[in-house]
Amino acid sequence: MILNTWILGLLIGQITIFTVISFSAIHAFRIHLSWNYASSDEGQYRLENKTYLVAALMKFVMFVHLFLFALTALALDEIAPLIIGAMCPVGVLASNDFGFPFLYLKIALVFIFSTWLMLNHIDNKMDNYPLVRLKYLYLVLFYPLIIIETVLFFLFLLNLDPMVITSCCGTVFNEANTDVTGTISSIPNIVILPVLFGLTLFLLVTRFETIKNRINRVFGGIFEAAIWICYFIFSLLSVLSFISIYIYEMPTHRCPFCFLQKEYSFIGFPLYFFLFLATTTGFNRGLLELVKWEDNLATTIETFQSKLHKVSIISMIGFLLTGFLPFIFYYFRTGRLI
Amino acid sequence: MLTTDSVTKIYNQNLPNQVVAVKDASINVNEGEVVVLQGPSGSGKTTLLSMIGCQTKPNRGEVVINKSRVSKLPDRFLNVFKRDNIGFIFQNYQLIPDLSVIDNIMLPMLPSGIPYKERISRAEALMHQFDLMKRRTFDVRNLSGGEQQRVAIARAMVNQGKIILADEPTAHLDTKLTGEFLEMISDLKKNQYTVVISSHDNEIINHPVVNKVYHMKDGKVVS
Repeated sequence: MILNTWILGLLIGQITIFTVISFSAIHAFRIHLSWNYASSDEGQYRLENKTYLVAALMKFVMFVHLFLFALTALALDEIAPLIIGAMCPVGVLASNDFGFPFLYLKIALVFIFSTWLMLNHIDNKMDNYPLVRLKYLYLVLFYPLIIIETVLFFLFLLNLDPMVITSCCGTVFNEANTDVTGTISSIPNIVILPVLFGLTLFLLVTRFETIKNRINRVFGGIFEAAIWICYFIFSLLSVLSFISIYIYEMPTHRCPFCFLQKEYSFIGFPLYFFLFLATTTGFNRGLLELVKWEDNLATTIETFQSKLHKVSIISMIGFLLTGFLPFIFYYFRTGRLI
Repeated sequence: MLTTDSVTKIYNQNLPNQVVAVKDASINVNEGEVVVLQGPSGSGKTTLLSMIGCQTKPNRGEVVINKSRVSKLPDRFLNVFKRDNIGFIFQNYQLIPDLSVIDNIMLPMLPSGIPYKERISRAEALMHQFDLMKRRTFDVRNLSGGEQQRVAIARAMVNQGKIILADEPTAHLDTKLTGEFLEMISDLKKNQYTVVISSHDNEIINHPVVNKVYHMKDGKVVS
C-alpha cells in the first residue's frame, strides 16, 4: 500500500462516508419500520426529528462523495509516477483488478445518491412526509453498495504495488487492446457521434409527455431515465474517442483524466460537471414519474420536473459546448481533422 | 378552533436533568374566546403556550389549530403557519429598543414578502387603532410602559393572524396599565380574535372578558 497525504485524504473521506452512511442506514431502517404519521406518540415524534438529521447527513455524504471523486482523480495522478508504467490515473486504476470496478461503482453512486436527494427534496416540499418510508427503504437498499465501494477502495489501495508493471492510458484505451476499454475505444466515431447527437436532438425536442400520456406514465418515466443513462454512456464514449483527442491534440491520447490537469486548463472539471448535472437531473426527472401517488404529490413533482428539465437541457448544452469547442478551435486553426 | 390533546413536553429527556414541563395537558379554546392559563411559576404555562404557538413541539400528544395538526407539521410549514395565524405578546414585550415604533410594528411582515406600501398601510392602521400615530418615529426605548405595551399588541396583530398568545403580559405592570391591557383584550375579543394568556395575575383571571381559566400545577391541567 502506498501511503501519502493524498491517499490519507482519500482514506479519511471514504471512512467518513462509510461511517455516516452506516449511522444513517440504521436510523433509516428504524424509520422505515416504525413510521406512522397518524400517530402522536413519543416514538413517532422522535422519528420525525430523526428524519431531519438523516437528511442533513445524506446531503453531507453527497457533497463528500463528489469532492472525493475529484480528489481521487487528482490523488491517482499524484501517485502515478510511483507505479511503473503508469503516467496518469488510468494507469494506476489499471494496475490491479479493483481500480476500475471501484471507479464504475463510484459513478453509479452519484446517480443513486442524486435520486435519494431528489426524493428528499420532494418529501420536504410536502406537509405530510409522503415519501418518508420510500426514501429510507431506498437508503437501506443501497447501503450494501457503500460497503462494496469501501471494500473495493481498500482492496485497490492495499494492492497498489509499485513493483507491478502497468499500462498507460495510451495502451489501455488503444483500439488494439482486447480488454473492455480497448473494445470501447475501437467503436468508431461514425457510430458514437451520430448516436450522441441523435440522442441530444431527441432530448431537446421531446419532453416525454406524449409517451407518458399516450402509453403509460410509469413506462414513460422509466424510458426517459433509460434515455438519459444512454446519453451518459455515449457522452463518455465520445469523450474517450473524440473529445479527448482534440483536447490533447494527439490521436493516441484518449485519457478521461489527464484533462483535469492545469496543462489543459482544467477543462475536465466543467466537462464532467455539466455531464453529471445534465444526466442526474434528466435521469431523476424520469424516475420521479414512479412516485406520483397522490394528487398533491403529483403537482409538486410536476413543478420540480419542469425545473429539472431546464437544468438538464442547459447542462447538456454546456457539456456539448465544453466538449466540442476544442475540436472547433482545432479545425479552424489548422483546417484539418485529427 | 384550538385544542391540545394530552400534550407532554419533556426537556432533556433521558438525561439526569430531565424536566417534565407539561404532562398530558388537554385544553379547548373556541373562536373568539379569551382563555387564561393560570398557575404558579414552573407550572408549565409558558411551555404549553409555546406548544400552542408552534414555538416547540410536544414529545407526545397533539396540538390542533383550525383543523391543522400543527404539532405534526414539518418545520418549514410550521414557520409559515405560525406567521400567518398567530401573534405573540411576550412578558417583557421583546421590542427592539433602537427601532422606531413603526419599524417595530412592521418587522413581523418582513419574512412574508409583503410589499412596502402594504406594510406601511397595515402598521399605520394599527397605530391609529392604538393611538400611537404621534409616536410613529420615536425609538421604542423612549416610550412609556403603556405605549410599549400597545406597540407589542399592534405588532402581534400586524400579520392579521386571528390568534393572540400573551405570556405573562402584565407581570411588570401596575394596576392602571393592567386595566388598559384588559380593555385592549376586550376590543380584540369583540373583533373575534382568540386570545390565550398565561398569567398568575388575579386581576386578569377575575376579569369578565375571560371566558375560561385552566389551572395548571406541576405541568398538569388540574381544572
